[in-house]
Amino acid sequence: MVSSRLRLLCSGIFLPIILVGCGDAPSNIGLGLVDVQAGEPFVVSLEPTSFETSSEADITGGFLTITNSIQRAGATRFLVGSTFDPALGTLAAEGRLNFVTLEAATDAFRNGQVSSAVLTMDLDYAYGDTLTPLTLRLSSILDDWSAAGVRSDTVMSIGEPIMEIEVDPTADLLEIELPGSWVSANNVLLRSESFSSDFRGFHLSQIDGNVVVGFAAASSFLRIAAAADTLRVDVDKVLTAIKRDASVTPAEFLLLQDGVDIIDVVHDFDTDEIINSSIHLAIFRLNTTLPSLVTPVGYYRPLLESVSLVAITGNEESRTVLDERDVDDDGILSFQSTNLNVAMQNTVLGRGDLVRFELQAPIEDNSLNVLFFERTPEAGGPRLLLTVTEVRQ
Amino acid sequence: MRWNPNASHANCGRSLKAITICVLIAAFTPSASTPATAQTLTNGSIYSRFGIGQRESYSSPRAQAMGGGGLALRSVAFVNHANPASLSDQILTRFAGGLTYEGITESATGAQESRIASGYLNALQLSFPLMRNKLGIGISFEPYSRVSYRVDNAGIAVVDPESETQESFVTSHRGNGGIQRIGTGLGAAITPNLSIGVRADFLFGIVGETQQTDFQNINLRDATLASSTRLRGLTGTAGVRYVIRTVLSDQDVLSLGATYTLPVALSGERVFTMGKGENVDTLGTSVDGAVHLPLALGFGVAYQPNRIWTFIADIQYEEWSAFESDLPLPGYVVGDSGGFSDRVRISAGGEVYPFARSSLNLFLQRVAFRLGGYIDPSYVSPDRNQEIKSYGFTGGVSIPGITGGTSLDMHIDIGRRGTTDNGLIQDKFVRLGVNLNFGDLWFDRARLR
Repeated sequence: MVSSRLRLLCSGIFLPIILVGCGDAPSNIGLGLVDVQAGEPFVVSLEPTSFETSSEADITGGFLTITNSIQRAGATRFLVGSTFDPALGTLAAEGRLNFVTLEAATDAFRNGQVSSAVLTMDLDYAYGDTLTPLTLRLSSILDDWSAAGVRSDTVMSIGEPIMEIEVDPTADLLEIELPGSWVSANNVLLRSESFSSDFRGFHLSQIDGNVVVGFAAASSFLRIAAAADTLRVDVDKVLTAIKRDASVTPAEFLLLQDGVDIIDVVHDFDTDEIINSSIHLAIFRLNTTLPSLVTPVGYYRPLLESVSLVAITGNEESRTVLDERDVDDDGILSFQSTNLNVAMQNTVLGRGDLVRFELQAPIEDNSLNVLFFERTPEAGGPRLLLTVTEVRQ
Repeated sequence: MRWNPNASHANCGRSLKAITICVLIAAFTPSASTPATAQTLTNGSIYSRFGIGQRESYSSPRAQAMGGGGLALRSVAFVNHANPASLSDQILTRFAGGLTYEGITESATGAQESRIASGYLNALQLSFPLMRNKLGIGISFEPYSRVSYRVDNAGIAVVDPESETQESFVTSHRGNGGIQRIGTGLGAAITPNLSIGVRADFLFGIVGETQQTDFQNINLRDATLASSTRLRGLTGTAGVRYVIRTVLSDQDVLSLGATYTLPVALSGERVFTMGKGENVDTLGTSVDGAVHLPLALGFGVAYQPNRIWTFIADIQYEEWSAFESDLPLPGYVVGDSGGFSDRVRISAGGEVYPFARSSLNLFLQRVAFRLGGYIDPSYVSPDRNQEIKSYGFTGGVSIPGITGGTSLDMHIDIGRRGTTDNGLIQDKFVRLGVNLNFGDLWFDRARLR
């Protein structure tokens, strides 16, 4: 009985004190007595110590895994053709593609004879002279090849030519019936359970023309007819090799050409301005420009609309896409993301091992699109705007 | 004031347990996040930011309502931990503890008044006799200093000078923690009039300062920057009390008490961190150093003309002008203690049992009323040319419990601190304290079988 009363008494006395004590109506009175503890947020603008084209080429290999849905990694468009760009020099592209296994094949298909094979390619890109047709050579591939993470400066070996293809650069879909001789020669292979390992795909190179075209891997396929069955075999990997002659771009600009270039951006973060500061916001901004370039009538040189900002950390092994942005109407490219904020905070705290940033075109929609950046700070060259609170230890 | 401790032994045991649990829960509930400091709220005085925090002086619930101090107080109903010599005055095992609510109205020239409030633990005290009224031990846990402040400032920052984008934010400057003192003392009555005592105290605690910047726009990272200084060290206090009886009349008693506390070098470790919760990063390496707290002297006098009245007066001196620290502190630059000054706290008060002679009501006989006042200059000031003084008037009432030796003591402390001159702040504070003082007979065999 006594204990119950005491508990009640304790609750009645102590709890109100605690609750009232938690009252919270702080103000700025006394601010003058605490402001030496740390500063107010302010903006630091850092210019890169280096802003140059990387020695590494862009990634143009990619693969598609088709299970319940299509999962993609890397490039999903392959390019082929050659063009002389009067402003940028000669651009030559060779592409290759391979296909998934024949798991869906019926017994009738596997035991029948292949009557036809039609390669369908979805043409969704062109760069160069679109008024003249393009002649391509379709060849077999003899060696096994990889696509994941492969860059455009790769060297390709090709096998026997299969046929020549006339391509209208403005067409949407190409349906190429493979020659009967090739079909007969590959009759067994095209019906085989080991199709995916023994068949190494097709290689496409240019014979004539002044344009580079691109095909969407996800909507390109090989249709094989055997007995009464027709089997659609989808593309599972693609790769493009690109060569560009020495660019004649004006020195005051820096060219980023998709499929070819990556731009390295190096900063010195070991500066008293930001070391150990708290990063609230990081904005990496560049001004693009459109220099007057020689562009013949009918010559199509698409501009790059989106760019990715990539963080390279550690021993060049880790690549993290921090942000992807479109160039705005004023020609300004402004990266701003949570990932960028966190990366910068880690960097000023001396961890994270950020080596540099890379600017590159989004890998998936591989192209030859171009973008020109201003180089100098006065003209709107690259700058990193950091909103920080300085720590005064 | 007569009671038989054995009569209520059984009930007392259960009650003590209930009270102890209740007080401990209440005491530690607001400090669950950092139990080491036992105080986490950050709505105290801005002056607690300076030095090692605002000095706290707590001796007993009785003395607290009489202006504080009480170095010469003697009583078997309250254990006086301020002077270890007084630990000799014990018959019962005694537990005391309480909480204080503090409301502060801050004012500054040209600014609107601000009202803030906080609640914190006064002390937890346990004591018991080894030899009744001759030799006793006390264990106490109480704050030595307290850091508890919060200042918020709303602002707008230009986060993108090119587009002139602005974002609003609130920066909250907070301090919390302080130094706690846990100690054990021994008091002995050498003669019926002379008592001596010693106490060893372990001082420990964390003094923390935090600046938290929160942006309204969720796309901007909020920032929490903090410095945390962990301090610990040992000190000791010696005390003496001398009682002179029949000074002016047959009934009066005059007591004189004095204490001396050794200076102590607290070892300190300071770390700077960024972030909060699980995402805390330590900035740089920790900084080690010593913080030297000064010696303290205290002298008190208590006069009891009869069993109704008690008057006390105390003066406590701390030599803060000799303060040294290897670690910079707010208001202190390493090697220059010019911002610190000696602290001389003067207090006086009285207690009355107005119904002590009433033969009708045993309860009323034990009701006490107390009044007091004090002046307490701070040892550190944000402005070297301006001393920060605290003045306060105290009062309180002691309500006896159902069982003998037990009381509920409440006190109020109304005062002012600081000034609005020179850009400083004036605090008008009201403290309401509630203390449970519980006595029970432990370690004693029942005499009736």
